Amino acid sequence: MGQVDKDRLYSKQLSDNYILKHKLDNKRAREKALKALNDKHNLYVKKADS
Amino acid sequence: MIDNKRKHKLIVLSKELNDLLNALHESSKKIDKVTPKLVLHNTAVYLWRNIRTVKGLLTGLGISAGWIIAYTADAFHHLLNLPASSILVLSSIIILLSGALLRNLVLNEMSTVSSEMFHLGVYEKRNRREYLSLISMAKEKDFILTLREQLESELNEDIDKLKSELKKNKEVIEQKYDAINQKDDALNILIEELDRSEAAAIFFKEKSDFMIDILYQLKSKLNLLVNDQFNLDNIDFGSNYTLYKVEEKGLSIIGAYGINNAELDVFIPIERENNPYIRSLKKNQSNPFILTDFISWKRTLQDGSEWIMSLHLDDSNRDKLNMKIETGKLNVTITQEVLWICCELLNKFADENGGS
Repeated sequence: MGQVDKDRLYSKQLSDNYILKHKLDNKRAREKALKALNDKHNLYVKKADS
Repeated sequence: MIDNKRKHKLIVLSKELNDLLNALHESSKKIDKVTPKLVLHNTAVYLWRNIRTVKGLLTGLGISAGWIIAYTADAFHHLLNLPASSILVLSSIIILLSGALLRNLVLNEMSTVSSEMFHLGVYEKRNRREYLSLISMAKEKDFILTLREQLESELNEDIDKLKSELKKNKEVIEQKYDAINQKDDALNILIEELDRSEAAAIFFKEKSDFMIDILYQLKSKLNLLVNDQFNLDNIDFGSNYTLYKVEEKGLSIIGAYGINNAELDVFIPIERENNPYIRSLKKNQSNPFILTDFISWKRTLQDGSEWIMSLHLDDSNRDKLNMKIETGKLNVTITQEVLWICCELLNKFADENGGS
């Protein structure tokens, strides 16, 4: 065994690249969401004052 | 509400100024012209009033009119000795000066707002700048008072309106705040779901890689089978294994991969109850016999023969085929199935070829 077909249409590298791309997209989306969550627009201060 | 300080200022302003403007307003109703007759009348009144005042003063001091005449008689006596022309000139001068002084005093009195003789025409001439500033406000009665009342009313109304708007705006801010909180919650849930989905995607990606790898291995095996080159040396699943066939009195070896055949028993009698292969006789593929680096089970092939299939683990696959975790169980199941089908093929073609 140990033989690898030279004409393999699918490879681990292909799936790695696919996952990596989506992980990068997810990372950007997550950072954007966290930034929005951390931006309180001073509303919490007003809430505390009221 | 207006605060007390401002209210006090408004009251003072209105009280002082309103009376003055009302006096101007009342006076403006009587539009008499400033005639010599009016001036003479006011002069007479003024003189009479002042004479009465002086008389009262003298009486108070105990001085009589007779005493004054007697005291000043000498002075007048000398004057009477002057020539008639001198007396005439002197009298004229005195009369003119007295008249001018009296006129000025009377006109001053007529331009004093608090005086009974007050006349708007005289006031206009003698205090023109004041008149121009005030007359426009004196056109209606209680102008300042009315203005004050309107101002207080509007200010109170404005404050109520502002308070109402402030309340509404606070409510709107609260609503927006709640909406932002809900969105924050939704975002947090989405982030958590994103993390879980990402982990799941990686998990299935690994499984997919594993399955695809198995598929390519199967394709390779089928190629070998077609070319009559299929034997145990070609069956590699990433782990070493041994195959025994169940016979009446024990287990006889079929073959192995990755294991030195010299180290294996060619035949294991059934009496060796502690032997892991013998112990595997009571196990099946869904409930295999497991040791630290050994997974073994019995499987019945399609021709009715029973085989003991055993996987030998090492550092390269111990984690991948760990039965204590779900992914390990799945990997073992897949490996078991692939090994089984290869054994079926091997068994079938070995029979056809008269042994492997």
